[in-house]
Amino acid sequence: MSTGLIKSIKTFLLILLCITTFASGSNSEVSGHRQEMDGYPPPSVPTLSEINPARIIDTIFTIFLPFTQRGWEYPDIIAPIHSYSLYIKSIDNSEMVNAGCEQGTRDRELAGTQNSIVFLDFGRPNDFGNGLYGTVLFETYTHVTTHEIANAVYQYASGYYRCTGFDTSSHVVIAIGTNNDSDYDVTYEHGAAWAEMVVEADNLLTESIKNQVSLVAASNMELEFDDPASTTAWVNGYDENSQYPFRLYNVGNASGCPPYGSCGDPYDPEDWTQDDVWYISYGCRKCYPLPMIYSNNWANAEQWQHIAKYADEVKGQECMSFRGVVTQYFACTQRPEDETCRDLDNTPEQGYKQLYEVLTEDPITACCADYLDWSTDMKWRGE
Amino acid sequence: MKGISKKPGSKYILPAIIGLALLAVILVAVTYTIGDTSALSFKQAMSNQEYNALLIERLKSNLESDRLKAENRALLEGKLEDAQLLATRDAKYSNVDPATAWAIKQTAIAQATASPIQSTKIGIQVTGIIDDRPSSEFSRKDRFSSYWVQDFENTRLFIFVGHEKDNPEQGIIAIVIGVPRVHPDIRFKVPGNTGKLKLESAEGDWLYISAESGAEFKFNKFTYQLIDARTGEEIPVETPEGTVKESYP
Repeated sequence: MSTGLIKSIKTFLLILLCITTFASGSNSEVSGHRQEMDGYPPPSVPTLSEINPARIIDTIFTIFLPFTQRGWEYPDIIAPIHSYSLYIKSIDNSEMVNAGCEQGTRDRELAGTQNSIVFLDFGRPNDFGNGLYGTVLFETYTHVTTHEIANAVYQYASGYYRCTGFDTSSHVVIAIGTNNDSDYDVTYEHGAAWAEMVVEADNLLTESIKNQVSLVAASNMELEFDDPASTTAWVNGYDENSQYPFRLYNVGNASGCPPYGSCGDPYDPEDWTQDDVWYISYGCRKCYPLPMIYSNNWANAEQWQHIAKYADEVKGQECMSFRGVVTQYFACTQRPEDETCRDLDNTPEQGYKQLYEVLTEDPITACCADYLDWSTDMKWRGE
Repeated sequence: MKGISKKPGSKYILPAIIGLALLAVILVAVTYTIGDTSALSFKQAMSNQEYNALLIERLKSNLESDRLKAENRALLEGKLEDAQLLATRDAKYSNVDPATAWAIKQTAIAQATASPIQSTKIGIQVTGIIDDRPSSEFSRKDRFSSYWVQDFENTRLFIFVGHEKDNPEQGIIAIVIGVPRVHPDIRFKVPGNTGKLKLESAEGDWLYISAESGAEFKFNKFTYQLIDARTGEEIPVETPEGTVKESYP
């Protein structure tokens, strides 16, 4: 072999190596299935003004050369744009209008019609006595009634409606939320009051706002927060007392459940089971799941896939309908001192891809991902 | 072998071929990438109307399945009925003429601009003893049973009592001045195996606390003195964890 040929081959290999290294950049650790996915922050949501040739060229030379194109492990998965869901600390009118306006402005500036969900978490349930119910807002510990919450939802909806401006086709589903984080007030009666409140909020919306806003109920139901008996009682309170079939989304976890254990204490007949999680997520008439996919190690996604499999195999309910996922990446960036965020801070894209991938890799649950097109990330409002 | 002499420039042919091949690879890569716009696009969520239509089909299909357990049939029929009702409603609100919708919205925007919403304090800042635990995101290593809330001119004082989550025998008193977020400002471990603590009453600067072990304490909200309520003796406590972040009320 001539010296020239050897030199040429060496030069070629060197150039190839340089390009590959340069292109792979920080993605070098992504090599196989279920490793760290896209880094964060993800590419910002592209508005029309942002998609320009310079950005495309930049994208080409930093990420997408085919030698190292990320996403080979998820070839067909494109995540939706995420909305921001809010932990609510104040329901002052202007605060809620501004919150809705932010979502509306985002939808107006994005190309095309947007369909999103936002989970407004008004905190823990509270029984004020004398038939008056409400919540205790996060951190400020402000006590608010269901009537005040209905008004707050109206303010958010009107802020969204106005700020979408000339975009009259984008639509947001407001999930009016509480949680099961209380020792005493997660009750049937509170669930019934929540059902009445959603109808009350809907009645406040004008017909034109309803063109772009619809309401559902939601509860952040975590297995660590409360026992299944009171949580189920709250769900039944909602399910049996709603005058209109507004859905109830379980923004919840299946912590400890198969394939990692048995949900609750297997020796305690009163503790959580897969059947309980199924019931509050899809078993009750108005229940639908909107799972929290927080954990970096795919555990949440796998646990929810097993709930879907349970629904199919034990209940004969095929294709449990997952519409979206909830993550808490942004909230974690707001609370760097929170140690639990260390392993529970999936980005919205990661959360979505994990659930999609896990559901679709099993033929029994693959259809459960057919309608999975919502992604929302939790954020502390007012910070 | 003088007869087999290389033509002038032949030594450049191979590098040129390799160079061209390399260029071709890059061009293919660029073309591929520009063609693959998925990196710059996102999944478009369907409308409620589309979702309801698909859900209705799916529920109908599931209802026809032999695998569906009899006890769940009524449940799915209920879900189907609800989905059909919601589909009707969504259809009503989805089929609106954009020009009409924009005209109505402009009026709404004009009205809102003319009288912008003012900030108004809504809700009640409850003070005193609260017989419930704080939100779970606060001090996750503890399990509090009750707490004290007191308002001052510019801030709030919170005193939580309970026990360590992983050691229920260890009584805990935690203090926050301002807003309880992730960690308390100050966290006291109460000596002895007191078990769970609970706030019973308040009088002046003192909070009265009962313990699962039967012990009774009083705790000063401002000096942090812990007194055995039965004997009146002060109980020395370990140096607490943390410091006050805001100035004391």
